[in-house]
Amino acid sequence: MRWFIRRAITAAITIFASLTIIFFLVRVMPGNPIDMMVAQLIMQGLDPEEAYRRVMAMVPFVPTDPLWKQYIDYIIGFLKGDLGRSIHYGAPVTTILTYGIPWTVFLVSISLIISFSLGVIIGMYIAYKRGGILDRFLSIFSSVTRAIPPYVIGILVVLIFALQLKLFWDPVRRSPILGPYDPRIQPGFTLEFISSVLYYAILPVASYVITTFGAWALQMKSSTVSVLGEYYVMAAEARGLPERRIVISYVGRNAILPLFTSLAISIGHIFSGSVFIETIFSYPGIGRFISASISNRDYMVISGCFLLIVVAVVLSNLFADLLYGKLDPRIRFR
Amino acid sequence: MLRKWLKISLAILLALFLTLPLIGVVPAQEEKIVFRRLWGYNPPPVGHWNYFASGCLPTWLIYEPLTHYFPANGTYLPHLAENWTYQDYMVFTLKLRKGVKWHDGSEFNATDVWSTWYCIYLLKDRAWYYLKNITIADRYTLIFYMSEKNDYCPFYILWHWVALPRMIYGDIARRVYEKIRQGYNIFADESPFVDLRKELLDMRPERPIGTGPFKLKYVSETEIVLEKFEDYWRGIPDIDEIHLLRVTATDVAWQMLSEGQLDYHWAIPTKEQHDLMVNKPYWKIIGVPRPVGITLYFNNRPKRPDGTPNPLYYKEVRKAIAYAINRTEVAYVQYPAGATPAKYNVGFNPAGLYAALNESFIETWLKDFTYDYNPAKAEELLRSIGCTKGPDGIYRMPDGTKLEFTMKAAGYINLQAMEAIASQLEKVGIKVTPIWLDAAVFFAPEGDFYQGRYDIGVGVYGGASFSFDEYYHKYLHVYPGHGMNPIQKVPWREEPINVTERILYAQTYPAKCTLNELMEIYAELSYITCSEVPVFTLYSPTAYIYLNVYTFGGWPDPNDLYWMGLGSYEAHGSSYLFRWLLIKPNFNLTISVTPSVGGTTTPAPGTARYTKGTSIKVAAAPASGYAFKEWRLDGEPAGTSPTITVTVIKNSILEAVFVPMFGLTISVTPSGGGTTTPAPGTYTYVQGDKVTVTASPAFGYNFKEWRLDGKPAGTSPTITVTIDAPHTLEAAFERIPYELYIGVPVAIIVIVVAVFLILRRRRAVKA
Repeated sequence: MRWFIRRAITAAITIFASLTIIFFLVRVMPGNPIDMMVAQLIMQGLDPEEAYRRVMAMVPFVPTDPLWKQYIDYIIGFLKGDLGRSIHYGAPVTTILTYGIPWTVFLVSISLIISFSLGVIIGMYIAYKRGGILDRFLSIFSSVTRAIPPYVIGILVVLIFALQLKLFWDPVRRSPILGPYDPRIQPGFTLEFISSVLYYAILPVASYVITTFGAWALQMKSSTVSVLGEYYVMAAEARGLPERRIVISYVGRNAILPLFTSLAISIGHIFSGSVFIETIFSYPGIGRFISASISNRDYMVISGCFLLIVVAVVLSNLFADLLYGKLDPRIRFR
Repeated sequence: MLRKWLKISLAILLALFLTLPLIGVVPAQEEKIVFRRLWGYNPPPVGHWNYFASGCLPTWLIYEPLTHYFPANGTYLPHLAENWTYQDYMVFTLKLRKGVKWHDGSEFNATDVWSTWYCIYLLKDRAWYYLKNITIADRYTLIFYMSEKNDYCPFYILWHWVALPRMIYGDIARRVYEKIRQGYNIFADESPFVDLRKELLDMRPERPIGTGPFKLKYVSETEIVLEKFEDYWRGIPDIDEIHLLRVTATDVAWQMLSEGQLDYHWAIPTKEQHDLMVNKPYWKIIGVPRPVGITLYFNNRPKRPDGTPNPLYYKEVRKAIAYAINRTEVAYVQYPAGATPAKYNVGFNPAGLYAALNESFIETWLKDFTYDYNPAKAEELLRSIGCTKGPDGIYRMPDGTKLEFTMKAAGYINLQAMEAIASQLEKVGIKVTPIWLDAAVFFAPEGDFYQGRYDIGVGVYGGASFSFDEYYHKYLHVYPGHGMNPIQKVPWREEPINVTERILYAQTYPAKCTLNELMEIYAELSYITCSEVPVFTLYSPTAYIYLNVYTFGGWPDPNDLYWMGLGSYEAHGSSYLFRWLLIKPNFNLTISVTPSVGGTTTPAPGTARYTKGTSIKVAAAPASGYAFKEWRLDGEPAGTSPTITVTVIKNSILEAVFVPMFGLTISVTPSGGGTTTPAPGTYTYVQGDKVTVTASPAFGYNFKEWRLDGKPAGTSPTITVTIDAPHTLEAAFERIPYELYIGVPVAIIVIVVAVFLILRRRRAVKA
């Protein structure tokens, strides 16, 4: 209990410190949202003075208070659950985040489950078959796909499967299957809508899985190899236990322990890992808002998104610590 | 047991998960005419339909301006406005078109335009500097009263701002008007209008209501779909839907474009992107110079901020730099797909050259200021002021100051182009170091650009008015800028002129400055820019418009001035194609002949694409042994004349039907036994014809029978033969037997007479 309280306090301090750093860091960035919008209008050929006047008239508010006052207001707002208002969009940040979170969680969590499961299975397999051709092939394949940036895989997936092979292609709309669901279907708890959501998720999930399963596989392989050398495994084999039971109950359960910690931490990175995939596949998640808000210097949205990431990572770390204690009775915290 | 059920449940869930998406949704097959183009937008909830707030979704086909403006010749084409007058630059009277409907069925009238403009007031639009009041004279007439003479407002009334619905914006407009009536003025004090402006900007209409040819169907993450407005005042559009596709991955977008999945695109492409499109047969590409280009701004001060002498103070150095830069080469480094180098260093875009300056002036005064690439001349200029080249290859001023400069940029140009310039200048002994900065910092009022903290800065040029205002008003009057001496001379005037005063006076056009004076000022400032080179205009990018001529037609001719207006205001400008219902779908007209050897047509048989409404004249010519029978259009008879005019309204098949011709040979037997009608001989008939032949025996003959192809075919003297193959028809006559007809009666008479005579002799004997 004491351990938990200590960790909770540490987490809260971490979040508060991150909040402060993020608040000042984004404001130290060159430019501000007003000047960004003015610069965009100037680029379009508008007179700079006219552009400035136009922007000042169109933005919902202009932050004119001193920075320290803005910071205090922000902290107070955060404690009340108000993360401020987007200068660029005019909407509350919580509205923007609320809209994006479910889609990001849906996409990345499915991807994570699939890539984790696939990685674990492949990792164990190549650990058992180590030294063979399959081991070499899968190890190299895992390393290569792990090294390729997710946005490259995403673009390739669309170009090949949607545009070239026309497998994920809507012949009526004459466009690739992009977005969260078929826009002609009314959202609702219907089989039509659900199957459309799952269908449209195939490509982004596949892109994410391709780029991430390799890491899990290699990690699982390494962990399995180390477990295979343990005496209890040898003892189990000597006792004549079925191989299937040894693989699952003795080797698998022990080898997967370190991966659960990584998995718990990866859950925290759900929000940060989705930027490129969501941009390429037009998914309305947090990632899309992160990239747009950075380009627009939209301080409030940047702060809100990064805060979300920090909270998720901190909580997932906490969860990972708790989980490991439960999974491995040898580990106990005081 | 539990584990077993858990495993089974997991297996079922997994199976469901894998198969559910594969059930798929089979999209309904729709036969619609759909126009597709790309458009970047923020989907809801951040994207919205409030025209006045930042983040508004695209509305350029939903809302309409009052006219269409052609920038190339400055003309306005009436649209929602029927006509207008501008009295003495003070009273602008606008007459609106009657019979225009909003998408919700209500009528468009003067109140809508009035409401729009009083909402614009809240944005402090510059037009309201000049506007005093707007009144509604009648249901379709508005009068705009100016507070001072100006030539500014008509552009914004007629073209820049669209007409917005009173149903959405009317309430706020009325409250704004009330505030103005109470004596408040937003330009003097914003505070009474802050709440109203917040209310205006925070509005989130559920859907837009416009007068345009298309209305909103739905918006999603990946597309905005507009459907045709059946009550559009110009007529029903031929396009059923317009899809604005949001494809965020550029590679995917260009791949779709190259495969013809889109119908229109506007871009400033990379060379690779442009090359994807160049050789495609169904794409027509039009290059349009952008009105905004890149200018080098020189720091004209005698000393730099650190107090050291500034070589750029000397115009010979500035001119040397001008001669040393190959603008064409640099233009293509930045825009490999195409760019337009500036010809004369007048300081503004080449597209507006002949609008701002007359041709004879250019020929007389500016022809020596093209600054064509000439590195030798550049070095000659440097040596003429005593510069010498050091051992490091860099020139030095007579006072020893090296010709070493920094070139600061934050946009318009790219790093490759800057490096190309630096490389070219290095060849003539001038060292330039490119520095890239953040745009929001560099172009801020207190940033390096406007404060003149640079040796060479990279900025923008536009039209004459905008550019001269930048160089000679903002820079010398409002901000430190490039620090040029404002007092300059032109050869045709004895006294020097103050360039700042001249541009400020030009901005009073038409209130004070006349048109002739304005042209004179432009001439003076152009000459000074050319001769003194305070700035050096480089090039403007070429925007490319890609037209899919396979799917749609009706595009204006590539040489039409209309396209020049799409260098900027692209969406606003391209919507003209839809508002005037110019764009129509192309359909296939397939011409075929039946049978294939029966003949030919002009145009030749085959499939060609025609724009809807095109009339095509088709002529049929039968082959030898065939005759033209009829036309069949989509299976239905369409005429028997060998020439037909078809108006294309959908995919159609036009079939020329030919029929073979067969001979019918009529003969008589025996010859002389009679005749036929038609007379014996060989005749050619079209297959299927029914020919009636009548036999007429000659004297002494009787008609016996017909023989068709040698076989008995009837004994009636008239026969009808169906021409389905070559036939021979023989009329068989038989001779009448005269022996019988004469001999028998004679014999009877002789026998009777003989019997009589015999009987008389016997009686005589008995007696």
